[in-house]
Amino acid sequence: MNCIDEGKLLAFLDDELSSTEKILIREHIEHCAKCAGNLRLLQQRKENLMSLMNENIARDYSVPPFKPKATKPFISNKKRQYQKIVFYVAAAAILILMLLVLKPKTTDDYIIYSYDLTSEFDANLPITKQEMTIHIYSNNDFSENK
Amino acid sequence: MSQNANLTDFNINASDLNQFETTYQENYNRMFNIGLKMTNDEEVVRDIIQDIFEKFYLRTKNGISISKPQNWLVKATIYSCIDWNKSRNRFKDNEEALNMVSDEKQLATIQNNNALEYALSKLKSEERTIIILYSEGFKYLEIADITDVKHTSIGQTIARILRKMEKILKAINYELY
Repeated sequence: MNCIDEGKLLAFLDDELSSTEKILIREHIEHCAKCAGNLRLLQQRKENLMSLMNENIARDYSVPPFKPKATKPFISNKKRQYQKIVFYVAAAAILILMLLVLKPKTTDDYIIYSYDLTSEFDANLPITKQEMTIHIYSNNDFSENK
Repeated sequence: MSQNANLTDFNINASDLNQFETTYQENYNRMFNIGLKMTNDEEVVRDIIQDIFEKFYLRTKNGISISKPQNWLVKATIYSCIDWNKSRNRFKDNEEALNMVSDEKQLATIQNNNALEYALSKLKSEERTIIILYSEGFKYLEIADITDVKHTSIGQTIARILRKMEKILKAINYELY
């Protein structure tokens, strides 16, 4: 029989092998010093690490009572998916609405005033008595308002 | 008595109550120990187990069959702890990056009581799960079922993890023997 690998040796230590396999390994170890050494080393390694892993673990303490936080209705996966879709659609709708309402203005609105003197300027009259046409424009709407 | 009152509030009928209580009592310690090894935080583990049992009850109550309840509970504990570790490590990594801690300095500051946590953190997530289950006395078949690793290679995998842990502990001069 060939030498035994670590996995098999560990399974032997953990009593995870069939009775036939155990007999074969026991027989081999009796005649193979290398495998017997490996088995001792593995056992030592296992014991040390397991004691290190379990030294701070409480074994005998009372189990606390089960305290449910709240009686929540059960939601199946399908329903959960449906709820997700509804949520995303609603969120998208709100976002689009907000974008439309709060659409950023590219330029500020302003009004252009200009005036033309329609008749000859009468120097004897004050400015308020002069005949003139006032043009009012908006930057967005260039239709003229007189 | 108080436990029964709580469970009645949770709308558990009389026939399910005994079964639920038995499952809770039988599995709590095991789940707690696994969770504690994975997170090192008792409060977190208690919260995790609480959530898992709530889900477990709601599932069974709503007719979703769980073929192996014990394995389901252990799996749920492991995955919840992995998720918690991921969220914690994210912040931990950020702190480390900020402090610019070199690896050598990090090793030097590791205390003996943190050695195990350090060694476990250096393992892959799957390796950590396997060794924790092994330390809790799970049989190879159960470990294979929970972790989806081939049953025939469990022995070899555990032996490799033990060797790896020993190497890590020796590297930080931890006195194992």
